[in-house]
Amino acid sequence: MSEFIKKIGEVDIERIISEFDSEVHGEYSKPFQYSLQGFSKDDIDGAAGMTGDLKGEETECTVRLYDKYEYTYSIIEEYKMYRSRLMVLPDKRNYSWHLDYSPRIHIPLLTNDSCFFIIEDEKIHLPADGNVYWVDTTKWHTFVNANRYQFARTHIVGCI
Amino acid sequence: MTDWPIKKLGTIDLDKLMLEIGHLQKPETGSRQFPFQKKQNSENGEESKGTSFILRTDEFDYDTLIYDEFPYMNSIIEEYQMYRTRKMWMHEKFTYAWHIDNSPRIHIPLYTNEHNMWIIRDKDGKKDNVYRIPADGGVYLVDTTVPHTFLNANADPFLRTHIVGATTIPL
Repeated sequence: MSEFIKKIGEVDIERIISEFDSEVHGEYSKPFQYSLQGFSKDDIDGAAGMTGDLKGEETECTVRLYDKYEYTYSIIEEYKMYRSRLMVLPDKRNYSWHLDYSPRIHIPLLTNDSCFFIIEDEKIHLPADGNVYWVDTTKWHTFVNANRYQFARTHIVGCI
Repeated sequence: MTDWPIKKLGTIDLDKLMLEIGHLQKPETGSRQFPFQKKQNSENGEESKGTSFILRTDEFDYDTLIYDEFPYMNSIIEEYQMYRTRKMWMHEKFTYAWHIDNSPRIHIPLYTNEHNMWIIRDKDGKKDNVYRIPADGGVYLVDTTVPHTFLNANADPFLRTHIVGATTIPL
């Protein structure tokens, strides 16, 4: 396994997916982020967007936004995640080449071989196999969804 | 740079080429491509534009130059045995679907930077590697007959622009 990735635990991804049935519809024309934590209770988009555009420090983005999603929030608490989001990247889209201030936890929910990180020019695919992945996103990286047909790659992502 | 999957075949005068075709702008709708060649009996090269990522096997039928007013571009097409040649644009944060082409490609980057890259699978199919080419006037032969994709990972608006054509030059 790449030096940029570590498996740090296992979760029931079917249970996570069932909690988000009503929010994830599969049809996206551009990247989408659904904040699970914010800077305050009513800060529903607080975790979304570019790190530099946040209203505070990432480490302060810790407030639980919803009373539902019990299982997902139990994982966020267990792994001490902050600025947690459900992140959807549609087919034929990618994020910019960038550095994060801190590593990330990734829990792939919907993915396939055409979805991958490029971290310092190493291509890395994380399967949706129930593993919780620590990813060293403090290195230069991007994420790519090179699927030909409609495919909404979906990960739970949080800072750690 | 090793010779595979990208080989620098030669150098052109990029400033001269840009003076001739630099004014051609990305179409506002439809495919982000401008064709320089067409099929012999067709009216224009519109059908040479490809976005479906279905494997095309007719690319060598696009052998007829469309524009007399681009003599330098046409001379490059002839020198490098190019077919279905197009000016191609790609916006930031967009990726082509993972695909293979029927034949190798000639790429002449007009406007690019280090955030634009191919991922090309090794011949043995075991590893995918990242490759970049600069807009240095180079004419690059790229083995796109193996699985590959291309992405523009710029954060800010950046319209990557290449001249691209199929070629009969062997790898």
